[in-house]
Amino acid sequence: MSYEDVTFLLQCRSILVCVMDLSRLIRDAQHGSTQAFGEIYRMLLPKIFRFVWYEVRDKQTAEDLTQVTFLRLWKAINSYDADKGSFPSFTFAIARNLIIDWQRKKRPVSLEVIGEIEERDETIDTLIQQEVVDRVRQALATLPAQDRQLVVLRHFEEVPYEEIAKIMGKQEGAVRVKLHRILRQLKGIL
Amino acid sequence: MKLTQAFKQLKKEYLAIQPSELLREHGWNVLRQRIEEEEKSWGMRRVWVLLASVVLLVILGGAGTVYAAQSAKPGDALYPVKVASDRVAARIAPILARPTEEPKEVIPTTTATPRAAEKLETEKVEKVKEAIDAVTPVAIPSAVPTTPPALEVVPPVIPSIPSVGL
Repeated sequence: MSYEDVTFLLQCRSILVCVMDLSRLIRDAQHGSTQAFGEIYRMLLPKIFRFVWYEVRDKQTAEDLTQVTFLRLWKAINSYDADKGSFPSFTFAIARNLIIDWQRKKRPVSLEVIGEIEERDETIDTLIQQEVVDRVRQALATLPAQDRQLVVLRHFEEVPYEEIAKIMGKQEGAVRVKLHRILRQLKGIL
Repeated sequence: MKLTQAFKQLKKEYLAIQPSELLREHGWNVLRQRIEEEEKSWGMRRVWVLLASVVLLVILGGAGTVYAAQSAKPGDALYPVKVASDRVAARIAPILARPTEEPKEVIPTTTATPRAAEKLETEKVEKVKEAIDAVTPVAIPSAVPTTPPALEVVPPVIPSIPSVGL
């Protein structure tokens, strides 16, 4: 069982789903089972939604794009090959392409909007710490979308470098170097 | 260190992002309906494509047969197709004629003549073949020798040169 499979099983809601193997669900969905695809949908929905939302910053748009992501996933599910990467990476790649299309059509979102997080968790004790977080958040917002997605996938979603490379369509080494540069850039801001 | 802590906080915020209750509860039902609709329309599209392919195949096959039949002679398998295509052409010719033009009188001999000529020609050929077959070969004595006469070799006449006394 792969790293991603374990992650999914930890995230799943019901015991029934937990005992079911993700790869079996994928196989069933590939054979046309909408029920199996429904289970996959429930597992992946929060993950894909927040990834999309972090880029579009609009709940309605994020929900629409998430639905379209799953629709495309259903259409492309037979082309998924487990040897070429994990299933979540496959889904992230679809979502990412949709985000790119959306960003091409829409005008850039202003920094003020990006700075606002809808469900903000106020657990930072001191104002200084809060200020640092705000600065990093703003710095992330000003990054090119591709760089921001790298940070999100690696540091927030904890996706391995190898999988990120597959999502981005790049070499693993190039991803490591790029992320290192982004972090150095962010440190420079602090 | 600061960056790591900031990332921890941002990750917390990131993971707190959740889809709406409506999407979580009804998102799949909406998506399933959409999938079913798309699959249905895709199925219908496939049926239409199949039908169109069959129709196209029939039209192309028919046109090819008619085209191939144009060089058929009486007695050939495709000859009836040629005759039928001639009849159809004769029928649709007045319909295809421009309205400004006077309706052309259909003269049956215009299409019948070439076919009659073909028939006549075929009959002639048959008759000639029959006549050739009916004639029995007769032995004709050879009046001319088959081998040419041998040429008579005439020795060359060498004139004698008178000797001149010096």
